[in-house]
Amino acid sequence: MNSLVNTLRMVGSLEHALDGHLMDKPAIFSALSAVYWPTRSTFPPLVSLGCFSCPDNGDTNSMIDGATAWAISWDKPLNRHRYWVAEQATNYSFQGWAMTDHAWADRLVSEDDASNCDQSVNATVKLITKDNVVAILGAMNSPCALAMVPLTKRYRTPQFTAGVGTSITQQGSEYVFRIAVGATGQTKELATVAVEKLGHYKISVLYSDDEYGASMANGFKNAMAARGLQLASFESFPRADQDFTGQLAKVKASGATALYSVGAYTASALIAKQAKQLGMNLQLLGDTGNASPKYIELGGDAVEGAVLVEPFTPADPDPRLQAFSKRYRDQYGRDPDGWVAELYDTVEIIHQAVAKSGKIDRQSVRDFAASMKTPGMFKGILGDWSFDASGEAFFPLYKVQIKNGQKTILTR
Amino acid sequence: MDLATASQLVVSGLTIGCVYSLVGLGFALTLTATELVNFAQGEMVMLGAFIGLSLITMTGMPYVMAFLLATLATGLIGVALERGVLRPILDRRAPLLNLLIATLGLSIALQALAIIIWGREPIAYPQIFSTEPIILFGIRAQALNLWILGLGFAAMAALQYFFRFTLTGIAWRAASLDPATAALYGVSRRRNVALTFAISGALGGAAGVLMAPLFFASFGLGHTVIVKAFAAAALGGFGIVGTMLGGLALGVIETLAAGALPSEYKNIITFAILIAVLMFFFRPKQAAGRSITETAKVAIGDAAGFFASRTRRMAVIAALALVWLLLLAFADTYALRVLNMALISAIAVLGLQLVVGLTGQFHSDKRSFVKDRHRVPAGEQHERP
Repeated sequence: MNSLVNTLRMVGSLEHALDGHLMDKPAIFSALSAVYWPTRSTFPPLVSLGCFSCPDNGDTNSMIDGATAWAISWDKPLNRHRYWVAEQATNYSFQGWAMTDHAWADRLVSEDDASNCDQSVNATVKLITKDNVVAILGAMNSPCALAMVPLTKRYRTPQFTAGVGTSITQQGSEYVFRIAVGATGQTKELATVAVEKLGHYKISVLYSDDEYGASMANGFKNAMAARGLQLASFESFPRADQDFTGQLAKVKASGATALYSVGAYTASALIAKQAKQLGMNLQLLGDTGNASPKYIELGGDAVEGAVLVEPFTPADPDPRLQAFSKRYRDQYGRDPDGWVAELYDTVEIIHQAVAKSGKIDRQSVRDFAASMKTPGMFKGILGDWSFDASGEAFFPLYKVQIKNGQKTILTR
Repeated sequence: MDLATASQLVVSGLTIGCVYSLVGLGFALTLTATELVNFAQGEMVMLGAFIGLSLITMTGMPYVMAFLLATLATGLIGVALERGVLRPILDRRAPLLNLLIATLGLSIALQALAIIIWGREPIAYPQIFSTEPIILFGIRAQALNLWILGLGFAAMAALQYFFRFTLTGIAWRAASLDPATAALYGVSRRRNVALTFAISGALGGAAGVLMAPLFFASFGLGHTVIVKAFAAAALGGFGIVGTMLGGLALGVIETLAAGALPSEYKNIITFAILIAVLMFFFRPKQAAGRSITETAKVAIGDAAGFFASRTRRMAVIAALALVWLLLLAFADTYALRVLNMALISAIAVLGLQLVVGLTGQFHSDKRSFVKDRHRVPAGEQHERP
């Protein structure tokens, strides 16, 4: 048993030592290759505690003048809307670039993980090792995005995710960039509008018990605590639950005047409907998770008056944004939402990375994104972008209210 | 928690409990008649929801009519699945495990079909009933809740009447208890099984039409209730009346638990009660006949016999080593990862196989695997009904 443990430790140390250096094809691989396969020029994969390989890292400097490919992928989460949004956004951005003259071809590769994080991880490996992508967009939900982080770190592939879970950018990876305002930023803005603009001091939180829900709920709790305010109630629900009457009974008993529900927009719409059925007249609060038009469609009258924070809204009269929205609407038959704008801008960032560096490789894309430390280096649909050292994005958020089934801007 | 709030929660709990009862009855009927847990029962719920939605939105028919037609449609789908997929497996005298896997496959296939037809996104039912609450003794109830309770209880009452007072229902009960003897009286086992799947499909569809206006129609709708519906059936001892009461009780318990305790304990409380009931008050009896663990036990016995030979052991190890080297040489990272995941799953299944093999029992003559050193293979022990 001791010898087995020692062997495992040795292999594990070897894995750790080589982690991140796979792209450089360390000498040890060449040496072992020479020993075991003298006629082979590349070391074959080693299967022990993990899978080693020396994949093509997508470094195609020599191909800049020819047709080459770089790929973007995303997960296809459980609800069709997010995937469709991501697909349309990226296609939309690709079309924009296709109209300009550049020396490379764009190839979009997509994988469906159905919001299953095991599949997210598998898809990540496939995209990096088989499809040789230079960047990954996804996952679109926090738990799966978190699961992908160790792999994108290992394979040194920039990962741009819309997941807002706090821990995503706290894994020590310099290859993860959050293209949405994280939980801390969103909840701080939401708390500000709820307290200062709407005048609510007794607020309840009802959140789904996953990474996203917990991050947002705790962020909001901290934001309220920073104002010296306590939450009226703080309840969670299993992610798959659909009946919230028990939790809502506690919210009602707490005397709260406002309710912040955190979860998939389906759950938030159900919470709104069931709260109304119970005769509760609460100010509803929401974050980018509820920014989808489906939230209004499913919630109907129950979500009237809800206040949300979101990165983008087609209600902004800015001519540039109106033109963007119109182009999108003409092409896809619906208004763009925050995810569309985030992904659109992200694709633009990647294109700029390629154009300015003159190289199509993962490290160049990563370095460009990491260099966007000051606002103004990149201006997109969402305004001036910047990333901090941990990969957190910063751009202004809209505070919108649902009136007569439409969103109107309260402030930005 | 005051009385008004508790009463409110009870009404909500009864509403969702009604759904659990209907779906649970589908499980109970199928298990009683065929010893099979039908994993596709949740998809009957989903199909009922979507069929009801389509009928209402396309034809504008009243909700009750859509309820009846969707129930009928899912009943027919249940029969079609039994005839088209499960009957051929049964006729080939395949082990029960094959049927289980077949129902799992049906579940996945039906979900995929629903996605193709109706899409991945949840769809809200049209506003059918007034949203103005009906207040009785301080308890707020929506018209929809009352309709769900009314139709749900009506369905359960109709079912109970069918099994107690109709010849077909009585024959079904007889055939479920003792197929061989019932066959002597002219009760066809095949017709019984078809009837079982028709009724369980109809019950699932009915539950779907009832719950979708509350929770939206979506391809994953069935999955949200299937576990608790099975728990409801288990709580009620897989009997008809027991399952009805078990579902209602489960709905009330979990809703009250969510209202009285921290939400994290909601599901813990629900299933802790279920486990307690199963441990101390009830032991589900399987009908005489095949044991679901037979195949596992036979497989383990055969594997043990195969590896008894040293030569075979060495040959298998050498073959595995060769395969490993070939994979190292030719497989890429992704292929190796997929293989790793498959092997991990295989190890998990092997563990389950071992557990099932060691703890299962043969039923025909009640001999245990441990005691019987000269066991007769399963295929020779039991008569195929």
